[in-house]
Amino acid sequence: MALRFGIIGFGKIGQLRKKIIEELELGKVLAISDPNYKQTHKDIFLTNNYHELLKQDIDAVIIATPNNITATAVIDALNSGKHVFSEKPPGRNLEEVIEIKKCSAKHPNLKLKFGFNHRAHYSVMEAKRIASSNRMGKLMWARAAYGKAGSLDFKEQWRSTKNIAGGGILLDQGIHMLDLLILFFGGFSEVKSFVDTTYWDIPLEDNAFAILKNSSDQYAVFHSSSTQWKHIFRLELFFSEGYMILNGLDTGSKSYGRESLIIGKRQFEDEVELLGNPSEEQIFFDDDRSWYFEMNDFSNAIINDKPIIKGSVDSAVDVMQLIDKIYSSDNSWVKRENEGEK
Amino acid sequence: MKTRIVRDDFREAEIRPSKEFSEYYRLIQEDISEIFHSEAGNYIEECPACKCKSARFYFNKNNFTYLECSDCSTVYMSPRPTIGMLHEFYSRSKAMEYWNSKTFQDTSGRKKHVFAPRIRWIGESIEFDEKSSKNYCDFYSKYNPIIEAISEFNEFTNKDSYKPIPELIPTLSKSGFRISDNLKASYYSVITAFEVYDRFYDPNSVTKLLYDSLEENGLLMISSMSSSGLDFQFMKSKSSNIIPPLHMNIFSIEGIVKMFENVGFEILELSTPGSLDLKILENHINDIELPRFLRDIILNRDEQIKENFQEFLQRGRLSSHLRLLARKK
Ligand SMILES: [Zn+2]
Repeated sequence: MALRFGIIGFGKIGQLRKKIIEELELGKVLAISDPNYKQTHKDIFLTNNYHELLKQDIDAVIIATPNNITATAVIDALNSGKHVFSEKPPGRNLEEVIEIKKCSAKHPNLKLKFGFNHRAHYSVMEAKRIASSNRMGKLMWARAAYGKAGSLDFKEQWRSTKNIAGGGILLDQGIHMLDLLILFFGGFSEVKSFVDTTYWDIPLEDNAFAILKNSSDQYAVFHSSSTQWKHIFRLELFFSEGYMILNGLDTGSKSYGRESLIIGKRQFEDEVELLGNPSEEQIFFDDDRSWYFEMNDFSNAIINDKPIIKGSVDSAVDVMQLIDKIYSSDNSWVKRENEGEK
Repeated sequence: MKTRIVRDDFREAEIRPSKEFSEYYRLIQEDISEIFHSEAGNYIEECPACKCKSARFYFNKNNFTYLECSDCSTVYMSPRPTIGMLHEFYSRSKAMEYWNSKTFQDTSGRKKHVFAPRIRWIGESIEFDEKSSKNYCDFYSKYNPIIEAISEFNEFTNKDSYKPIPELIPTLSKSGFRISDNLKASYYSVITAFEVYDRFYDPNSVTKLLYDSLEENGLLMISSMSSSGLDFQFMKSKSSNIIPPLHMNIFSIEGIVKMFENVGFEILELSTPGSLDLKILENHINDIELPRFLRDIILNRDEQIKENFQEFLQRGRLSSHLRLLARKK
């Protein structure tokens, strides 16, 4: 069965989604809604009003808009009977995502998936598989850093505008790392944090630091940054019997380093010469199919009426709850936000 | 496709005890003169990996000739003993008997540096979505530590050993393995074939046979020598790893990829996690021709630089021993 797609928001990401749908032969893109996009395909319905797009005879929509439109577009699309794939973040804040969840509950037959593509990176899937096999023992703690350098037009981007973006680097990029921490830990109940704007002249945070704890006494130290002049993606997972370190990420820019997974086993006392410096293995991954896996999952879920596993609305709420806690656990940040709103 | 590097520091002697290996080589020479004294065997018309028909002379060793494929650079023996001659060799060989009977196969050095990483590799590579029955086969089993370790895996419903060496049979029965001499079609979830691919008379047909024996998405894991590796490229006939008539195919990275993809496999991982290339060259520095640059690294640079160099080889799949993980599409 070939699905009929509409795309709301046809910037870089929307165009990439179209390419993937066509490459995987999942169906046809029949409608596009974007205020800036000029008609190039005669057989595609083009509009700058997504409500018009939702009236078209299509099965599913891809939502790749700025954050201020995401939640209402998701809700409107569900209410008009379309399956929805939405890019992250699922909204500007927790309230918006809870509204989405309420709406989704009213449409149990419609699939709703969010683009948390990091879960579908090869290094993450490999690490998750090894962690689940229990060959590493019990997960004890993690140290996670995800950061980028901003850009020359950082201040002018919609991502740096409070009412459009909703949040800074924590919501924009940190959300992926938090989603991965939830993947490995299940979730966190306690949060201590600092959130601040340290360098960029923007009304949003450019750094967020947090220590997370859950009821199984597992800990994670987390840092999200847009003053990371050398891009970083690094997640260290330490288990009772060994460790795994995800380092580098295969992205379009290649600036996060070659995607790899380091695997080491705890050395025992009878191997004194290696104590603290065990032999280890490192796996390098040379391609990123995460976007393809995501679109395939979405299409399979629709065609075979299977539940959404990765990127479900529940996982979107989980990660937004965690982000909400990280913002709200820093009293100075809360105070600054409240004063800003006055 | 992914590639794996292994940071593990050890010396050649830890996995190849020199006294026993010398005896093994001596017996091989005796076998060759007794068993392969007259007939030449069969000339091979095309590269066993990529089927290219053009090749050039590469080297002679113990009166066996090796060619290098003009296209993929796989190195292969031609002429090679007929299947009848090989049967006779494997049944009468004193060297094989000596090798298989020796417990040095299982020394702590080999357990730690050869078998443990391989067992980890199997454990980390097998992945099953659903809980249906899963069948495992070790193809031409010859390693005690592998069999013992696999017997502890609870992922497999049935475990078979295809044509194991006779010395392994007690371990196999103790470990709950069935012994088989034919492979059922579309039956296995995982097949391992360690250190046997270089010995097959016709590796391409074996690859097809294994492909047919795997269920859909079934995994094949092999290890073999690589002609793309540094140590092999300079040691050539002097390489102690190349023992004719045993080793007839030394695959290049490009060649093995072609062979597996042509049969229909998707290659998930191709790595050369060897730790010894530079150390082997160092051990033979006076017997081989090396470029000045390499000699300089080996003789004058510190251990850290040499480790980095070996790691660089692994990253580029340029060490002399390869591992391949493939999935039936
Ligand atoms: Zn060839």
